[in-house]
This record gives sequence, structure tokens and C-alpha cells, in this order.
Amino acid sequence: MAASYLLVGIGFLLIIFGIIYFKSKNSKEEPVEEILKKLTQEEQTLYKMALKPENVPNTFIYALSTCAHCKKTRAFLDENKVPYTIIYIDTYPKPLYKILLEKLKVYNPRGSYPTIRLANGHIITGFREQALREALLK
Amino acid sequence: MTAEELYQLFKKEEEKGYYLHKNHEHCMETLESLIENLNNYGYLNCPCRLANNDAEKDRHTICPCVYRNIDVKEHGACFCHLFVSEEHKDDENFFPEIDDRIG
Repeated sequence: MAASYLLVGIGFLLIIFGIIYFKSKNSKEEPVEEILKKLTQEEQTLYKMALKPENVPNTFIYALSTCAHCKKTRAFLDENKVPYTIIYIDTYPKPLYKILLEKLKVYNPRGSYPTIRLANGHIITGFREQALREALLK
Repeated sequence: MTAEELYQLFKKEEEKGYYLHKNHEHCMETLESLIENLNNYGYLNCPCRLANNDAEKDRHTICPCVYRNIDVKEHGACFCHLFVSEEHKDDENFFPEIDDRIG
């Protein structure tokens, strides 16, 4: 009798451990490299540039696709024929945008948009026409 | 919901002293971005701020965000320039520089 209780107990424990094991296995986040591989070549290149904007020869912008200030910044730069590279953080899968956000916060601890890194390393946050004009057009 | 419906809904905020920006193009673009966020996340996250895809975490940035009233009071407009004060309700070119209060 005691042996059958023991067997039932062991079986029960095995089921519990099995469930925990499979749950933890499934909840493991996909490695960043694997997520990156699923992106287009252009998205991958932009992502890598965003992590090392100091290697980008022109202005680099961290932006949101929905942000009006980012659109105005683009319009201003286009109008004045200023070359720039822009990444829309919100269009990347969450694990990647978290990494991008960490990088952005190195330059702008508030993490606001747009965050503009000029080629000389100077940072401008938000759409500030006068600051952009002075930094890029003079 | 459409941007036009949201426009009509937010128009009621005028009773509280918060007016939609006179620049209709800017206003509709911002409302369309809000609708995009509604479709993507299920709530009207501020289009100028990154959503966490979690309404509880983003409760402070759901439009009208908790910073709107103080920004309108201090700067005459909210961070996104969607809402402005009565003083600036007829100014199409009113886009003051406002620092994001988050962070």
C-alpha cells in the first residue's frame, strides 16, 4: 500500500517537473542573432549602425515611425539637403528595440525622440530647428 | 475607430480648455499615428513615445497623457502638440520646444 502511494507521489512529481521544464524551455527568448537573421539586409545594417553611430559618417537619428517631431526633423533635413541616416526603433522586434533603446539612452538618458547624433558627436534631442540650423547649416 | 472619430472625441476636450491644434495637417497626422498605436497595441499610446505594448506600464502616456495638463499650462501645448491652450487655439504655427517629462 505504502509502495503504491510512493509510486503515485513520484509520478506526480515527475509530471510537475516535466511541466516546469517544458514551460521554461518554451519561454526562453530567441537569441538576438536569430532575430536579426529574420530581418531584411537593410534593417540589419541600420541596427548595426545604431549600435555604433560613431562609425556613421553623417547625422544619425533614432526615431519613432509615429512621432511628429521625427517627421518634422526629416522634413527639415530633406529641405536643407542634409544627409542623414534614420532608424525607427518601434519597427524592430521587442528584444532588439530594447537593445536600441539602451544605446539611445547613452546619448539621451530621457530616451526621447528624435535623438539626433551629429557626425561630430554632438547630440540634439527633439525637433529643434534653430539648433539644427546652427549645427548643420553654418 | 478612425482618426476623424478620434478628432470628434477629442474636440470635446475643449470644454476643459484643451484645444486641438489649429494646423489640421499636423493634427490629423498625429491622430492617425494614435490610431496606428491603437491598432498595434490596443490603446492610444502617445505617438511621440515608445510603447511597451502593456497598457498598465504605459498608463501615463495614453492620450491624453498625464503630462498634458501641465505642459499646456507651462508651454501652451502638450508634448506632441496635439492639444494647445485657449490662448494658442488659432495659431497654426504654434510648435513650442517642449522637453519630454519622462526620464
